[in-house]
Amino acid sequence: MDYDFEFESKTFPLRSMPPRGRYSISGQDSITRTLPRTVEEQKPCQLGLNLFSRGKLSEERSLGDINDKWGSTHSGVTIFAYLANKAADAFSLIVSRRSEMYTYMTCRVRADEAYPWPFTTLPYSSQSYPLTGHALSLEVLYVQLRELHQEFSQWPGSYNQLLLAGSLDYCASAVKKAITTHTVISEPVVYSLRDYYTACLSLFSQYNDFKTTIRRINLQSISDKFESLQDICSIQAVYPRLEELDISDGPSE
Amino acid sequence: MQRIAESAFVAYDSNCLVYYCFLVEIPETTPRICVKAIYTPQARSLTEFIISNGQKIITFTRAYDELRECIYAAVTERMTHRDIEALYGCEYGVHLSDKEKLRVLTSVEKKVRKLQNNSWFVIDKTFVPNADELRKIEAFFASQKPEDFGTSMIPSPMDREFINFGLTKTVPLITNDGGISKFARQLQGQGLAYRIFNLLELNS
Repeated sequence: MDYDFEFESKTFPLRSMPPRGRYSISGQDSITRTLPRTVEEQKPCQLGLNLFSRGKLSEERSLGDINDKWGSTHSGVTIFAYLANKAADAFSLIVSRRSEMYTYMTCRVRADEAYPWPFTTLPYSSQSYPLTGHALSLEVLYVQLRELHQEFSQWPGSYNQLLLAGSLDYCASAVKKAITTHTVISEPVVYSLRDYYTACLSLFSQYNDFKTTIRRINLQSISDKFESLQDICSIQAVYPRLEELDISDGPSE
Repeated sequence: MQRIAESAFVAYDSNCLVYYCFLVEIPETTPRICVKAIYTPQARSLTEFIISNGQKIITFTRAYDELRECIYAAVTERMTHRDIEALYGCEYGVHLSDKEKLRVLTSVEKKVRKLQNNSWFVIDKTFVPNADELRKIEAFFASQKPEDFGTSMIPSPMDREFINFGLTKTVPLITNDGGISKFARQLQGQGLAYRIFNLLELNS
């Protein structure tokens, strides 16, 4: 079954768009670009998908690595995609690439033919659709925060490692709560969350090849930033401060 | 506890300080949930005895500055115990989130930092370990059979400084580190340490 992918950049400019062309669903777990437009792009671009096993907005999942080039400039770069939205005739993916900020996009996929296959039969959260504007922005932010949290949670354990992983977990939970309760987060909160994400992402990029050295770094500025972020979230009634969290927030998501 | 009653100062190793501070109450819970380290009751009982006896607890700057990693180790070790997970109502196989661990971590750290405000807690800012003595202590531990350490780790450079601190300042040391307390007599016999006590033995 072939589908046309229509890639579109929603909020941030993309440095490099994935190549346009014909993509086919080569199985429940993969999409393959089968009709490259140029000789250079002839290798199929395959996403290791696990898209439709849940089909709910609130359950984004990592889709795995790009097994091949995603455009010639992105060789070797790991890209994750997440199911962000699904409707009767289309679905959106959020694709984010680690260690760069402005790299997400949504992709709408339209079928050339009738759907033979899972996503027409899977339930989806009608509350989460349509995913536009503010909601999309939060959704993307949530994905970015959760992805970075998962990265830091796998780093060698230390005080600083838990500070980064725990604070990003807090941020992701705050955004998730806003999404699920349809709370509109004010601009200063979003700005603070983005700012904190950017600061952590910078550390990730800086120390990713020297993970054990993070324990020796003075992260006082990050710690202070996180303190003020908690204040803002608490004052704006988005999410309580860490020490005031309800016990039901204790278990991992 | 009477064995340390006559000293004006008693030195706590980093773990003992963390155990004393590791008592975190989770708000808005009924009945109130209180997360603590396994040895917190012993550390608090001993500390209360020391305070009521008019003695002071002492450590040195470098040990105090490196408490963060000790807090991290104690918190992550404790927060992955099934009994703590159950306390939070986690189903079997569900673990506590990183933000919950961070909540406890920061709470313990705040308490550790507040220790400085107490008149019974002293940080020695002048102590400089004796390099020759440190080498002798290192050689002493290197000469021991690995099996003699049992499940304990071979004392770290910071542990060796702690032993030397006790000797230099002639203050009894309290530790829960078996790698140190098991060799207390031998260290004292060779003139490498002052008196060393295991936290659990003092409470027994």
